[in-house]
Amino acid sequence: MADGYTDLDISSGETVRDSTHIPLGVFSILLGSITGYIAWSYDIGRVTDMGAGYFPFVISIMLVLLGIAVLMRGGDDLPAAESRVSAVSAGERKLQLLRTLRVLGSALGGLVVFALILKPAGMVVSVIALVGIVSFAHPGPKFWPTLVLAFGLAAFSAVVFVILLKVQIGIWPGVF
Amino acid sequence: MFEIFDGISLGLGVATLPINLAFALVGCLLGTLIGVLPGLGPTATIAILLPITYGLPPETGLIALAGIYYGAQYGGSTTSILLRLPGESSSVVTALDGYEMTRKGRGGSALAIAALGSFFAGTVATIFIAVSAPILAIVVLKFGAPEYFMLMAVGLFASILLARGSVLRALIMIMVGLLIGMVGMDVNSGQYRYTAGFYELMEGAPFVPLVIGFFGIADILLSLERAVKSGEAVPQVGKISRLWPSREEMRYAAPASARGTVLGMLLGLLPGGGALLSSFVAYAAERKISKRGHLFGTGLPEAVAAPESANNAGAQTSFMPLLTLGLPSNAIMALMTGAMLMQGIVPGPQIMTNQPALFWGLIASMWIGNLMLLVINLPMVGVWVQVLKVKYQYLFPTIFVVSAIGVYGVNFTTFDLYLMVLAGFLGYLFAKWRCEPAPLILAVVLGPMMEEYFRRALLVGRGDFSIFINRPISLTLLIILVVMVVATAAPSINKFRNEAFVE
Amino acid sequence: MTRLTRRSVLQAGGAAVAASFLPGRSLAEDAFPTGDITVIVPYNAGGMSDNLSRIIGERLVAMTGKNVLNEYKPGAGGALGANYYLGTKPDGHTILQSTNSFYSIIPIVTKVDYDPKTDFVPLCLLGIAPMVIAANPSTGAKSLAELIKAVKEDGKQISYGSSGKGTVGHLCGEWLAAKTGIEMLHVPYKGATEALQACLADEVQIFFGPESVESIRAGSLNGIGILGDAKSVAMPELQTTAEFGIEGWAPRSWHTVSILATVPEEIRQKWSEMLDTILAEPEVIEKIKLLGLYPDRLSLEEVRKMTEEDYTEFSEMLRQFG
Repeated sequence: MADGYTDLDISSGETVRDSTHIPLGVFSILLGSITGYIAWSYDIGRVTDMGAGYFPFVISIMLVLLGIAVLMRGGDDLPAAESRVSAVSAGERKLQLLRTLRVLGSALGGLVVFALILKPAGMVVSVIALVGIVSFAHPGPKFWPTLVLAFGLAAFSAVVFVILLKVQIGIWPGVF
Repeated sequence: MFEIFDGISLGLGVATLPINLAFALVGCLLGTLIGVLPGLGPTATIAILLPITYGLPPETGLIALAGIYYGAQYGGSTTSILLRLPGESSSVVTALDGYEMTRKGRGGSALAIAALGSFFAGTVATIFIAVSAPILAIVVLKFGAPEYFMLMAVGLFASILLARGSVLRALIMIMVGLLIGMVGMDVNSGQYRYTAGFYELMEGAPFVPLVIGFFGIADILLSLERAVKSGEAVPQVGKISRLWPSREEMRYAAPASARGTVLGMLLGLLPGGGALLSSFVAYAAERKISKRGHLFGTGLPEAVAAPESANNAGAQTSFMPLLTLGLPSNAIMALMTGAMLMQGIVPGPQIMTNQPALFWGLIASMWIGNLMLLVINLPMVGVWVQVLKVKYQYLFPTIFVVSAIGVYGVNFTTFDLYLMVLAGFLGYLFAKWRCEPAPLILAVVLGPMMEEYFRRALLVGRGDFSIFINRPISLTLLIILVVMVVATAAPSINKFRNEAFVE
Repeated sequence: MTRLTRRSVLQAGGAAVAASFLPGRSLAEDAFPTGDITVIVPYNAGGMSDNLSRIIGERLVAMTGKNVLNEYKPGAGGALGANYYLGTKPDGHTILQSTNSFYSIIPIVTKVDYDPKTDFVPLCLLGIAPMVIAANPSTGAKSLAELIKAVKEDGKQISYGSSGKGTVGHLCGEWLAAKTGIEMLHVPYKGATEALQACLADEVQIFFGPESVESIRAGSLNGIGILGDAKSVAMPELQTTAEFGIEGWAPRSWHTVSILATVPEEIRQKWSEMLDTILAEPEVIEKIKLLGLYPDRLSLEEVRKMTEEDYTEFSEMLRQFG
């Protein structure tokens, strides 16, 4: 079984029903409704002469139906081993949420910042920024090793990507 | 028959010229490097390096470019296996079981199996090409829209088999994947769908950011989350025991490699097929055939051997439509066409007779290239495995940097980076909701193709469904599909009946 | 080895510095281009436009000593690349590889940010793509007349493949069908190669475009004619539609290199000169011919006239067909 799918066990040892079917179901229904609505505005046509909207519309309907099915099954669709997770107290849950946000924020945020400043700031600056921000996604970021890593990666990227592979990214700010 | 021997000896003569050997090596090394780096693919690199080949003799130039192409296939599996980060889109499937093998400490073995399997496939495919080049041309032409549709349908159904766990959730993943695949221009009507005013989506949602996001980034997010929650660093991946596959692993892997090779060879011939499709179908087929099918996804050697052989075989045979018919079967082949034209050679059916040195030289060099890659990659296994020893705290930023630049390097638009972030976030959510990314990715690839071929089949057949049954290949595939569906559903039907009777 | 005294080195250095002030040097400083050149190719890598740009690019590098880089921005039949080009700096270092389709066809079909009449200026004509009509042997037709007979009298159902809805290939088919009074079903593909392959496989029976020449030579397809009034240089035996009796304008496809209208006049002049020199070279002409195009040395005025003519005619056609 692939890792990452089982929730962390910091808990009382009790197990409860896995409730992930709820957000999944809601997501599916919402997404299917939106895409179906958009598909409706494309020409639908008939089976023998499908328009641009036929296939997307059918898929959207199926997505909504599947979402409903998942909700109705209430987690029964999972194989037995996965359908129970550890119970977690409310306080724990808040803490976990904060930690999750920290990870998502730094990791994804770092990438977003990288994308934003790549063109104006050049590769070196962007890479250093990326490494710096993203390092907060791991417990216990250390200043000096991270800095060394940042500069090292910046240098590596400049040499391998820009010089060796001729990828067109300015190395220094403003050179574009 | 004897012309083939003549051809092969001519080809070997050309391919073993020092300059051609040297450039083949350069191409393979470069290709391996690009393959390892996520995002950056052979297409972009070949496009940029093409002008360098102008001054070289034509065979040398093509040999170098070809080396980059299939070198990338070898390299792509490295990060797939070790980091669950596909370096090449065709290595996505290898990541499924390959990464699991790494977690069990068998990463070195997986890399070796991938390299050996790829070499075996390359050798067989090269022989196949040499022997049957003219016949292949005819086979390729027999495939029309109905045949392609049936093939895609079989492939898509096979993807349901890729799912472990809940079938319901796999279906949702497929639906989402199909919708993502719908983005862009619809060939049959010229209508732009789901582009939300973004120019970058008009040609379709770019594949590379999606793959890296759903597989690599999402996985890293999950690992990081776990680490932060527990306050400990991400544990080292299980100790690497032996670097070489055990006898038992080889026993399983070898026949799988053979099957994957055959599938890859055939699918690679089809334009639009190629390495990616071959790897998916080979994995699914292997899973269906194997007695250990239910264990797929836990790290079985045959689950690595089959797709790796398939994607390499597919990469070799994808040269065929170009060399026999003058039709490039994918973007890279189109670039090769450009390279040839710059040398004053027009690719077409005449190339075998007009330019035998080029034709046979290229084929012979394919095999030599595969040999070189094996020699390069096997010892590297020991080196790559050291990468795993790096503390995760420093490994994951490295992955981020390399992936981000690699993704940017494909289309040079930051839109792709944002898309990668979005895909990473969605992949994280889906994993949290107990869904798997593999069926989604397959649907993204197959979905739009299926739709396109289905509608075109009906268009050409002027609204008549019998076009699917009237043509032999299409009919055969349809029967296979029906058999697959019944075989998969039968146990559930039986169970259902038993339960009904119990009541 | 002569003794390298400090003095001799200084003398040599001084001489060199002094030499750089000579008039010869200042002429070189006027030289354009001063930096790397970017070519925006609004189609896929490996396509006809890309190959053309590489032919020119190779000569440009030799001529200017600067790098030439291709940037690919495919999409919307070329409009995406053109739109993108509009946003680049008008310093003359970026040029656009163009075809007549996004001067004359695309603006009518898609919403574009640029005005085809005023925003871009063609620098030179690279070549005209002969719209060769190729038929699969299953039609039994070896000429246009036989094809028409096959449809009208034998009741054969004919379809033709193109590289997409609204492309020149598509419009050729519509035009021909209208002018000859036969019905042909249009089947769109994702590119000329796919459409050609489909024709070879008899999924569709007809294909329009220069890509079929090799297949015709090999005998896999029958060449039954060529659109327009100019004989094909590569296959002079093909009957033109004008000879067949269809007068007037015929859909055509040609390739140019364009530049932003906002680029200063002298730079545009320089470009025209450089390109004219390149296009006069016999090797370049040979390579363009190999691609299946024929280079036509038309003046810019004539190119402008052709563009306008195409725009009017295509608008009319597209209006009729919706």
